[in-house]
Amino acid sequence: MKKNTSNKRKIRHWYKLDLSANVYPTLQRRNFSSVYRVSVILKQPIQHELLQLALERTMPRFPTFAVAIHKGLFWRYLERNNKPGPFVKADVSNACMPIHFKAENRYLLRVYYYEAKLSVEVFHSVADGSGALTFVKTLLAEYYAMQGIRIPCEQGVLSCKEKPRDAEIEDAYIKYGNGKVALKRKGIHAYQLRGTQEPFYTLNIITGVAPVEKLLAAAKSYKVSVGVFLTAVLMESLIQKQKMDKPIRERDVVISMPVNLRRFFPSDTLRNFIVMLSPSIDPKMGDYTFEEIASEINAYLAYRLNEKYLKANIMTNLSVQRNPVVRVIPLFLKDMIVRNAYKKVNARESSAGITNLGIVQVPEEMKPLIERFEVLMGQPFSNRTNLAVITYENTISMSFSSGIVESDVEMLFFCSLIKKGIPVRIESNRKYRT
Amino acid sequence: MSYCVNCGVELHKSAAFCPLCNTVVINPVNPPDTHAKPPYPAEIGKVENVNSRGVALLLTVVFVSIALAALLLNLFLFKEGLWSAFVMGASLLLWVFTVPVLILRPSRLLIILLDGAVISLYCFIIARQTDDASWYFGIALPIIIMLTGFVFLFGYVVKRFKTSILFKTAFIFGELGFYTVGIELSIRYFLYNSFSIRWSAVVGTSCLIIVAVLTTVMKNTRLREEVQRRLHF
Ligand SMILES: [Zn+2]
Repeated sequence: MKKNTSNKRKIRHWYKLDLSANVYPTLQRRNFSSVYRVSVILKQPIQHELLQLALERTMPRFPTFAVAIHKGLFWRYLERNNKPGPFVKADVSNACMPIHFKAENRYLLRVYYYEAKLSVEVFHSVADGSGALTFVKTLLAEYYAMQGIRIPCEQGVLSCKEKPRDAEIEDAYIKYGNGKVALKRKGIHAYQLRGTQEPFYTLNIITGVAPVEKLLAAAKSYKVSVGVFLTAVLMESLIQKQKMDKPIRERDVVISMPVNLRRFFPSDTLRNFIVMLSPSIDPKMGDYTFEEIASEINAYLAYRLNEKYLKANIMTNLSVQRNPVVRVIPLFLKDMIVRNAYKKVNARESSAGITNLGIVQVPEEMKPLIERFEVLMGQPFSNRTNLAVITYENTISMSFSSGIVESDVEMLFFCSLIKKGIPVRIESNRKYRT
Repeated sequence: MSYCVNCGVELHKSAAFCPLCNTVVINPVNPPDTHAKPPYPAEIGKVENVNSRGVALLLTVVFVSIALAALLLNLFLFKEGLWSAFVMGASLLLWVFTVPVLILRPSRLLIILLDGAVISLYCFIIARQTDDASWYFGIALPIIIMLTGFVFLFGYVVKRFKTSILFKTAFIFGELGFYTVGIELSIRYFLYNSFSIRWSAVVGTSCLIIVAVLTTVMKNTRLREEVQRRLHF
């Protein structure tokens, strides 16, 4: 009896939202929430009953995923969710639809299956892409364990027999947020895509699949990494698109990209640990060649991707959150202020988003069972197009998601890859436009 | 499996057109496999709306108990007159105004019709309780029916056709003109038994002029762009 109570005290029942997590629920609307999805395409069709069992075994290992979001007087918080669920569902065409906090038994996580594709959708306050990827890999290992295939717990696969570790649920921003200076924000009005809005419950997805070795060779010929290369191709496409729009005055083209801070500050957290960087090109300065765009982005990142700069970047947001005045403003006022500021400033600060989850490592035993991985950003807050990239073995998946009918940026992007000698296979849920 | 002739990407074997440039796949050697599973499912998911359902249930319980309480009091305690009809009518009115909006969110047109019907019903209850009920069929009912009709028509047009802000404004002014004329007609017919109009002619004409101006602006592209530039928000 006594042992039982002492065990119980160890389980945390609620979590403060981490630094990145705070803004997402504020922007919540009936038709918008910050949801993204991580998918894995297997070689065999998915047995969904087994997947449900595997999910039930996996959830207790990820306490920060089995949560509901609640409102406090000053801040929102995550609370342990003991309701039944989440339940595995047949996949839908409109991926990443809004998560309503009180629906679906208050879970902030969805699991879908379609043929051989397993998809997990996560509300961004719960975890970032890296945390979600660990969840997917562990779920997959459990799913195979159900079928008698033993997958060792290595390469980011967690053992569901073990208790969750404190390091996995820590708020790493607090841990490393001990800098002395904060960066100043500079507000710019970036180029915004225009287009015909699709009706609610539509997310247009275009995924391009390409061999990594070809992409690597192309990137090498410009002396940059694959990530920088793809950002440069997207940048070039956006610049071209703006030229096609024939604006009176050209605006800066800005791409916002999250940087995984785990690369710079050792942390095992499964929650958010990213900051946003935004390389930009001012087309008014003249016509940039692709080489110039690539080296510009490369230089931008080379200057910023180091511990000191990133710490100052963390401090920018952290100092706002720690400000005593900000802390005692009631939540509904905070929501109003942040929502307006976001609409007027942040939503205009970037023309597109790019997320690169990098190379997925899986245990050797899992490799023959997996075809490829796929990531997808949800419906963007403003009209921008989002690109999400993930690499597995020799396959790189590049998924565009957008809420507008026109697919000009996507076409410019993939045609540019083709012209640079990279063969691309396209998959999409778009409907034929008459 | 085909390649897009226009942009050169490889396409999924089920693809009948290129998702990037919308070019149709015409490949006599290897036509699109219509039986192959497409890469993404076609079913559209809907978000469940738990919150509103709870509120709807709560409102229903509140209104039903108010109506019941009034009915019981009327039957057994305060027996003079059928005053509970007002309370029950009002409860029904408020219920129809609030609950369908929470549950039937997508079908706004149905809600408009329901609202019109329940307003008519409530006015009818009032009319039955008063001595002279002729005003109900003479004025109230025509005005309510016309209003419901015009709102319904506007809702239908907005839902059915892609309309610009200019068109919506013009449509509203047009409806407003007809509605004023309709109101004066029914008042005059009820009071003097004659079909003629006076003051509404002024309102109606002004509305028609506004409609004419707006349609001209809509027809003229340059003028429309100018208006959009100056009034954009
Ligand atoms: Zn094409």
